Amino acid sequence: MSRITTDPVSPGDDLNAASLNDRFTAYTQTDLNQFNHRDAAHDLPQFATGFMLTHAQTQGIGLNNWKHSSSVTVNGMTSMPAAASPVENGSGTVSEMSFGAGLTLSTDELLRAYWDLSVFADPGSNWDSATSLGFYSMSDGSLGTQQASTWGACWVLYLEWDITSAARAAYVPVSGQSDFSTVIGSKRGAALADTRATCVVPADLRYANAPNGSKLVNASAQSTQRWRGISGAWYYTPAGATTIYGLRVVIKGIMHPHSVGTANYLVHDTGYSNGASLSYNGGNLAVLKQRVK
Amino acid sequence: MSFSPPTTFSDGTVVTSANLEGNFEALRVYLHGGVVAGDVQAAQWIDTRHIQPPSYEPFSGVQHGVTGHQGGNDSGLVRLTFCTKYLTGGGREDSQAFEPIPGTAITLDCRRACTAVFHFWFELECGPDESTAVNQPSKELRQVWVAPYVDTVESAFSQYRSHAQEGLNQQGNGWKVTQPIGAAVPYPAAGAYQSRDGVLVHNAPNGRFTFGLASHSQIDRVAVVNWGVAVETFYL
Repeated sequence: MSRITTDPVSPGDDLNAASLNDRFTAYTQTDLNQFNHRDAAHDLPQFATGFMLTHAQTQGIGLNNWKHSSSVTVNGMTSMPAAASPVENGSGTVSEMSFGAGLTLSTDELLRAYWDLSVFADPGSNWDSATSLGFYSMSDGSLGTQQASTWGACWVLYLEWDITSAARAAYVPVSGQSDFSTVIGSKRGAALADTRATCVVPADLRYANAPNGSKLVNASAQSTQRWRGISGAWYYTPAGATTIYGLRVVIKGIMHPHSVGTANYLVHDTGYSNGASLSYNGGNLAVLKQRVK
Repeated sequence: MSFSPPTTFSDGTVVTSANLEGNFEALRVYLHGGVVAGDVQAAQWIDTRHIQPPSYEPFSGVQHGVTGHQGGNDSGLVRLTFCTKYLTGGGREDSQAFEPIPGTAITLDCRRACTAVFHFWFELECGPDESTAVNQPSKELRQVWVAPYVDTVESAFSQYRSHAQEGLNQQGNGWKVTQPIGAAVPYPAAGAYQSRDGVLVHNAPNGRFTFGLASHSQIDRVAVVNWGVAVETFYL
């Protein structure tokens, strides 16, 4: 540690405000210089634990069944607005991360969140239905049409928090995240700028032989994706002190890219969603709160 | 701006531990990141030799300093490795065996109990596994799981299987038997070329411990085309 040129306390000395203040102001006796800083450095023993990483917490989420003998299923959302489905354990218990009486972030702290989950997207059979956004219609070269997947259909998983009370009964999307219910023309969704805590999962995977010019002669084939690991991440730097009581992962879908002018969105595809579903098993949610200045 | 204690004491007032600790805490904050250029004597008074540098382990790519460890390693240009069912039960559905993925482990020597964060990512090219041996899932259902482990590879199953990330056997028509020989459907289109990532937060005691990746495969050949692992540990 740095040295401070203050006489040690001796028996008989009075402790008064001035002498006490001197103990703290002595560090500014001069500029930081050779004597009070260079000649003795700081090292691990001088620092208390929990100074940089002020909180860390992990939480299992979903139904931990790694070989998928049973799972939890969320159906595609066919009417708007639709509520998100929180990740739960298959018995109705939501996999929320509770911070008890609250986890308070100050303005010089950063919250980091990471999550992962095993999911299985079943695309159903309406990817090319009339109301679906998930296909292009091309000439088949014989006065007919052939549909090709846009590869844009997806499910979204994003974070919600409760910053109102320890009752954890008022979850809303975290900062920088929309609930995908914004009205966008005749659709509902979110601008991409409002999807900072979103993880996107492909809803389908189809392939076809290469087009012959502008003609797609053969029908596409479906490549079932089955189970896959997915992950997401989010960080938050509060503008003012913020207390978080709970955090959870929720699911919505099927979504599809959409644009209005130069603005890009993810919107609900209610046609594609009809008959589609997303199943999931177990995963994890981890949170780190750390000082950044 | 030089350090300024938040509490200035006055005669006749009670000295509280909160006020004293508040001043100490403010001093810690100042020393940790509050020093600005104007606080430092302008004339040179410190040289590189006066600062204890972090130690650096070139093979794992991790440095160690007063706050903890930071760094990591990746597959680089060509460092292909594999997972295979022939080391993890031959594709039997009842197998729970995991085997380490070469090159993905990092051992840390910690000087104090710490919170360790293990970041990992990998790209898998799976199958096609067309084998017909009994006691296997059908070829459309065969998967590979990659999970982190701490210290013992067995912990990938016993403690961290909920972190396992799956890849899927080629869903196309298997191998082409005419030229050019290869998978009948490109791997990305058949769902068999996939990127995965995850994070494991671990509270570690003082001493040595190892992070790594292990696989359980039901697929005969899974190429781990690219991978990366990184750690951060926090003493403070």
